[in-house]
Amino acid sequence: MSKMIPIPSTGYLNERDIGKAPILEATHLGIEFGGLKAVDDFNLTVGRTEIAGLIGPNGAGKTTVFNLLTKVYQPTHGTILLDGKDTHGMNAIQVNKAGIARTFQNIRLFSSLTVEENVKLGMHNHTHYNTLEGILRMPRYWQEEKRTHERALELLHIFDMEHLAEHKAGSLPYGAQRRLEIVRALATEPKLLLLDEPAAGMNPSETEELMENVRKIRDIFQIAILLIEHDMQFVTGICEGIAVLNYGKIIAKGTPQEVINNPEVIRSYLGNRRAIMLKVENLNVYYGMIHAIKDISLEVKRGEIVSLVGANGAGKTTTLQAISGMLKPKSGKVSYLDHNLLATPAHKIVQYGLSHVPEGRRVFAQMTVLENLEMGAFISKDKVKNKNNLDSVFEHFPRLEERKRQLAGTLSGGEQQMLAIGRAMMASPDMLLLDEPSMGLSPLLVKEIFKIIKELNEDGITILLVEQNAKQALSIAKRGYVLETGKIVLSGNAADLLENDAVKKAYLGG
Amino acid sequence: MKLKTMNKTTRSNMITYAMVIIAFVIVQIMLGTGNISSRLQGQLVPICAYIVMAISLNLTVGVLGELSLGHAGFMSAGAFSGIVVASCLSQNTSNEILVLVLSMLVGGVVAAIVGVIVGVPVLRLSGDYLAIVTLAFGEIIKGIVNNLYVGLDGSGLHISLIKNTLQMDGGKVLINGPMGLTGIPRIASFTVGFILIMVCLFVIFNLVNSKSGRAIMALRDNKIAAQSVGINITNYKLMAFVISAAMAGMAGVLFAANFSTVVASKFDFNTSILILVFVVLGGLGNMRGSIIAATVLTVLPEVLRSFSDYRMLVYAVVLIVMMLATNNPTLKNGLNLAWSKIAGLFRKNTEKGEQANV
Repeated sequence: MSKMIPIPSTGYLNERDIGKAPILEATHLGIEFGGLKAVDDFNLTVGRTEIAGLIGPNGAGKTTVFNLLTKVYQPTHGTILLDGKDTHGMNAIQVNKAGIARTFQNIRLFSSLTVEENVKLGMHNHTHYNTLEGILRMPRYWQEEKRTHERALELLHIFDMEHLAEHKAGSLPYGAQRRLEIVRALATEPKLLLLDEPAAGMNPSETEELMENVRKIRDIFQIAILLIEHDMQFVTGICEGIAVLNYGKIIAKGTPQEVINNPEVIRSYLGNRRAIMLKVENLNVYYGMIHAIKDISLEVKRGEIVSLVGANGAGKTTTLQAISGMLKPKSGKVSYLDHNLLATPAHKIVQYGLSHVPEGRRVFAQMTVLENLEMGAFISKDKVKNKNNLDSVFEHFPRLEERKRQLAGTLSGGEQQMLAIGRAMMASPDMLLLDEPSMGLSPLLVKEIFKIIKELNEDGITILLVEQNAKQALSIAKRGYVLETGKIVLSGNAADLLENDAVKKAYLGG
Repeated sequence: MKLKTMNKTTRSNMITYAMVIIAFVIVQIMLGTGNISSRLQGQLVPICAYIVMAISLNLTVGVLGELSLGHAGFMSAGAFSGIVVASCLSQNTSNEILVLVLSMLVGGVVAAIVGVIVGVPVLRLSGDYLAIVTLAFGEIIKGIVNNLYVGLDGSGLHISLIKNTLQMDGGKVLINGPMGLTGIPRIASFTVGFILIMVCLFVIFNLVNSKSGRAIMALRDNKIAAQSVGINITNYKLMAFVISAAMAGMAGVLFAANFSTVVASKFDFNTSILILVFVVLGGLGNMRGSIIAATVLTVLPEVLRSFSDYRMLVYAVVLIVMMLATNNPTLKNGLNLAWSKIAGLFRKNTEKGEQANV
C-alpha cells in the first residue's frame, strides 16, 4: 500500500489522514480500446481528505481514468478499491451509491430542469419515499420534499447560488453551470469527488474563488477530491498530491513542488515556460515602394497569448504573413524555436507546429466540414493522432460535429471561423497565428470565439493573436503589442495596455 | 391556497384541472338544456378517450423523451381485454358504472403487462430505433387481435387463434377475429370519461413533480449524468412506459364501450400517429396543450362534415396553420406581450384595490 505522497513532508496532510485507510486505491488499472492502451498500469492512492490532482497533456488519458473509476468504462486490467471495497463488477450507478461522484469536462446538466431539481436529483438515492407515495402525496412525500428542498438550498449556498434555485439549469452562465455540477455531485453524498477540469473557461477571479470553494468543500464534508485541470496555478495552489499522466501512463507523482520540477514532466507537459517560441527581429516588409512594416521586433513565449492590435492597415496581417512564410520580407529575422523561418517554405513551417489561421477564414467552400478538417491533418499520417485531434476539435466546437457532412461554404461566418481554427488544430500545432478571428461576427459569437481561444491556450497552445477588437484581444492576452502604420508604438503587459490612455483613446473608444 | 403563493408548476397544473372541470360543467349544462347536436354528443366519449391517449403518450414522448409510434397498440390491448371482462360481468350485474370501472381496471392492467413485455427489450434502444420497434409492436398487436376468437358460454371463456374452433355450447362470440368485438355492452359515459381524465392528470402531474418524475426527466435530458448521480435508467424508463401503457389501456376500454362493434384495425398505425399529432401540436410535455389539441382535432372533422368533400382538406389546412402558428416566434412573442399586458393591467388594478383597502 503505497501512499501517493511517499515521504511525510510537512506533516499536515499525513497527520490528518494518518492511521486511516485511503479512500481510493487503484492498482495496475488499465483499459484497451481495440489494441490501443488508453490507460496502462495506473496506480494511485488518494487519502481520506486529500485534494489530489491529475494532470497531463491532451489525450493522455485523464478523463479515461475518471471514466474507469466511475465505471463508465469497465477496466480491462487492475483493481479499484473504494474505501477498502473492491468495485469490480459494479456499474456506474452502484459506484455512485458506493461513494464516487463526478463532474464532466463538457458540462452535463439536466438543462431543462431547474437548478433546485438538478440538486434534488443528486439526492435521488437519499430521498426516501417511493413512487406511489409520490403520486398519492402521502405525508412522507411532503416531509421528504421539504427536507430535500432545504438541503438543496443549503448545498447551493456553498456557491451562493440559492437565488438561482428556480432558474433553468441550461440558462445559467457557464461558470454557474460548472458550479452547479459540483453541487449536484456533492448532493449524492460522495466520499470521493472527481472534478473534470473545474476551472476550464473561468476567468482568473472565478478560478481563485473556485479554489477557495474546493478547499471549503473538503473541510466541510471531510471528503477526498481528485481533480483534472490544466490551469497549473490552480493545481499547484490547491492540490496536496499530483500525478502526471502521459500516453496513459503515470510519469511522475509527488507534491506540487516535486512534480513541477520533475524534468520529465517539464519535457512532456509543462514545457519550459520561459522559453521563447517565436522571435521576430527588425522585420521590414515592402509592397513595391510602400514600406509596410518598419523594423518590427516582437517575441512570444511558450504558453502565452500575445495580442497584436492596431487599426486597419497598420500592418498586422502583413506581419503574420511574413512570419508564416506567405510573403517575403525585405530584411529581418524570424525564428521559431531553433528554426529560421525566413529560410523555410510555408508548407514546412506547418510541420514545425506553427499553424496560421488566415484572415477571412478561407475555408474550402466546396468540401464538407469533415473534409476541411481532414485537409488540416494533411501532413500527418498518424491515424490515432488524427482521430484524437478530430475528437478534440469536436469537443471545442460541438457545432462542427453537428454539421460535419455539410459543405463548408454553407456555414455561417462564425461557424466558418470555428472551422478555420479547427482545421489549424488538426495539424496538432504548438503555436497558432490567428488573424482577426472575430471579424464580421456577432457580439455573442465574438465572445464565444474568444472563450475558445482561451481554452485552446489552457490546453497548452501558444497563441499570437491579431485583432482589431483590441479590448477583447487584450483582455484574454498576457502581453500585447500596439501597431501603428507599420511600427510598434507600444508594448507591455496586456492589462497595462488596456489601462493605457493612449490605447484607450485610439482603439477602445475613450 | 392562493394562486400567487403557489409555485409556477403547481399554478399551471391547477389551471389545467380547472379547465377540464369547467369544460365538463359547460358540456353537462348544454346536455341538460339539449343545446348539443346528437353528432357531437356521440363524440364526447371518444374525445375523453383521445385526451387520455394524448396525455399518456405525452408522458412517453414529452416527459421521458422517447418517441413511441405504437401507442394505439396499448389502447387495443386494453380495449379487447377490458370489453371481454365487461361482457362477462354485465351478464351478472346491471350496475353499468361498476362494470365499466372494473373492466377499465382490467384493461389498464393488461395493457400495463403488455407494456412491461414490450418495454423490457424495447427500452434498451433509444431514438429512431425505439420508434421503429414500437411501430412494429403496434402492428403485431393488431395482427394478433385480428386472429383472435373469444367466446363465452355457460362453461366459461373459450379462446382460440383459429377460425371456427371455439367449441362453444351456445353462448355468444365476443371477439370474432377480423370482425372484432361484437355485441359490446355500451356502458361508456361522459362522466366516467371525465373522471378518467382527472385521474390520469392527477397521476401524471404528481408523478412529474416527485422524485420519480424528476428522474424520468433527468434521463431525458442527459443519460450519462443521470447514471452518474445513481439513477437507474432502465427502471425509470420502464416506469414511465408502463404507466403510459396502462392509461392507454383504460382509454381503450372507454373508447370501445362507446360503440357496439370495434375492429382491431381501428387501433392501427394511423391512430398512433393521430395521437402523436395531438401531442406534438399541444407541445411536448405540455399536458394542457395535449388536451386542447385532442379536443379540437377530434371535434373538427365532425364540425366540418357539412363541407363533405373538402372536409379532410380543410382539416389538413387547419392542422398546418396551427402548427405554423404555434411555432411562430413572432406570433408567440406577440401573444406573450399581449398576455403580460393584460396580466399587468390586472395586477395594477388589484394593487390599487389593495392600496384602497389600506
